[in-house]
Amino acid sequence: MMKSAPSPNSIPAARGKDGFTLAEMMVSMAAFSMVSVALLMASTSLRRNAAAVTDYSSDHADQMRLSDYIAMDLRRSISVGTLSTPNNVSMVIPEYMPTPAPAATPRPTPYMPQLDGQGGVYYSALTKPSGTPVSLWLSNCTVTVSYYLSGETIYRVEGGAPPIALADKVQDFAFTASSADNNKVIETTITFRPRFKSSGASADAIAATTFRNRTLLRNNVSVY
Amino acid sequence: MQLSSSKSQGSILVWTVLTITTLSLLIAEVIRVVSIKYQNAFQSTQWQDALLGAESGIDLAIVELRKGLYPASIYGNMTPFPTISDTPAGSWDGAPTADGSTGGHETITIPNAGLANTSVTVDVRVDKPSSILDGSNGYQYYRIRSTGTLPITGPARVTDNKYDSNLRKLSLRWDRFAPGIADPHVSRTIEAVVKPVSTFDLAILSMTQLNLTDQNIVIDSYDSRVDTKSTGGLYDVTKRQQHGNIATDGNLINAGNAQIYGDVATNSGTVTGTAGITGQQRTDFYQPAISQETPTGFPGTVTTVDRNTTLSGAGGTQLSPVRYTVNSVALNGNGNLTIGAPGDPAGSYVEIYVTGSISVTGNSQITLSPNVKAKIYFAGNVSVAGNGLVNSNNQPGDLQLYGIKPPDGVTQTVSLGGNAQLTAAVYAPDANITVNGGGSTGHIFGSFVGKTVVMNGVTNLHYDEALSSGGRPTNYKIVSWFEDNR
Repeated sequence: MMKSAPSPNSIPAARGKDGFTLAEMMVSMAAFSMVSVALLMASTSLRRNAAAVTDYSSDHADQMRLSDYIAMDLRRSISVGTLSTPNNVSMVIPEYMPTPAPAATPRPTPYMPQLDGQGGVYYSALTKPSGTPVSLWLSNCTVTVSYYLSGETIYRVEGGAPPIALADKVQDFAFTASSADNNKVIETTITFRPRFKSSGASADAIAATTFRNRTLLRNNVSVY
Repeated sequence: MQLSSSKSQGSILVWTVLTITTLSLLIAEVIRVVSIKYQNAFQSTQWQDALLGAESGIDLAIVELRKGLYPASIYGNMTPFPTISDTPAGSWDGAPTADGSTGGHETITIPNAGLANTSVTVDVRVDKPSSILDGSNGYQYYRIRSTGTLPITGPARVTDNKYDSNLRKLSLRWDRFAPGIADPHVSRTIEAVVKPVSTFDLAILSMTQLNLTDQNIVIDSYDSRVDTKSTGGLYDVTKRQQHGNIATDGNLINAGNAQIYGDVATNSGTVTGTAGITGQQRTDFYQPAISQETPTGFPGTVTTVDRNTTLSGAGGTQLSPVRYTVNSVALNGNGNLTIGAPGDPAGSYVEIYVTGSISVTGNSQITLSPNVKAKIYFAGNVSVAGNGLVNSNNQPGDLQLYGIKPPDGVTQTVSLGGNAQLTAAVYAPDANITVNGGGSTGHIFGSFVGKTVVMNGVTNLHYDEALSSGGRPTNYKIVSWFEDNR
């Protein structure tokens, strides 16, 4: 038998298969929105967390580098400058060789050690003229090395050479130096402000980042 | 229906591929970051360990140098005492150094000493440039250059921050100082200069007992070489210094309420009567005793000193002193021993080897003439009393007494005292030394090293810091340390 044509006023038999009701649409839209928001929030949180971890890791690497730099110079220093100024540490090291440019080629040749007449030695291209006081002469045979924070960058400068950057984007760093064990040891501390919270790090969180390094001054004659 | 099913399966496949790709990228990124951080940590650790290796090389070199300070009977063919003409002591091969000066050289590889079972290689060179020879006392300083090297395993690439490369200077593709490279590595080099340490580096050193008795003794220091620390080369109480250090290899110092302007050190021991000690009190002291062996190069002709005797120093120099062999000094009020004739030129050097004992009693004296410097080696005992030892120069470094190690089972004694003033330095690590007081106004200038040391009634002991640059070397210490980070 042939089917008769549907009346224009009749409801199509397949209506339920061709569309959704308003209620269905609203429910599905709500569900989709919730899932989308959750995904967006999770994604944002994940991205911020990854950024914070990366930042922390990077800052920690900067801490280690800065600490290693300062410790290297402290080990060979003759004297250490004022220790009370934060983010500014200086020391005096022997002028072992001509003050090198950051990328000097060929590399400078070290001077020969010479006796200072008081049981010590100094490095210089020149020999102390007879009659010149030792203390006066030795001041010509040393180089001052300084570390300081300027803007977002920590620099190291050796003598008259141009400063070299040791770490950048470290405006939240704080480093200090203090003496210990009768000035035979210098302790450096380096902290930074972790960025795990948008509201900012607490004092405890900052304190937890403190990196300490105790360095024995090898050229302090009283340590041996 | 079949077409609809195929579309659905294709969609699932696309989503699966996208998901796997996304996850793979995430994992790859995580691995990349972790790998970089691991490599950074590994390279930093190897760089730190390279310093430990280099410093170990410095220690090894000092040990080798110290061997040369001991008698030949202990370390065989080692050079007994480094002097101006000696080559560096030690067993190293004496290969010439880069600057042409002869020196010792040693390379030591310690397996599995680094991280991840890597080895540590220490390359040490010792030489003695002429620029660090002290002509005033013959002390030869030594330069030690030590390089510690560790391999860098894993990818030969720098970490994620170029600043690390500036500091650590890893040799990944080429070496900093040599053409080419066999394996990626990191190395650090230290240059240290060591100086001989005098036997008279302390005011008092005893190998066992050190007793200051309860005499309220004052021990301080001055430096006869420096005007700000002495007056006219003599002790000045207004310029008192704080290096009247005393120490013992034993575990007890009876300070006896002494006023000590300096440090006091024991070998894990205690110090009693410490109220007047201005310096540090340490318990980590130990200095091996190096016995004085029988000196060589003395004439076979033996002189007996039992009456007025003058031993001239004319023609004697620091490197070639006038030498005498004396079987004993026995002055019992019947004569004097004058070291150096009155007319001897300034700076005359005399060395006396006494094969027996020294005894000076009554009004007899041993007198060191002005401008003469003397060393007296004695094999027996020493007993000097009643102003019996006169140092006309008033410089303790000009009159040095060395006690030769006695045979096993024999006790050697040194008794000095009764003087209003005693100016001398005594090194007798195998002898029991007693320094008797000179009354409430007595002053003793010098340094004393003995098996035991007792200050009996001494009220003032002034240590001349110039003594630390004279006398026989018994140790080496670092006077300069520098990391060569070119």
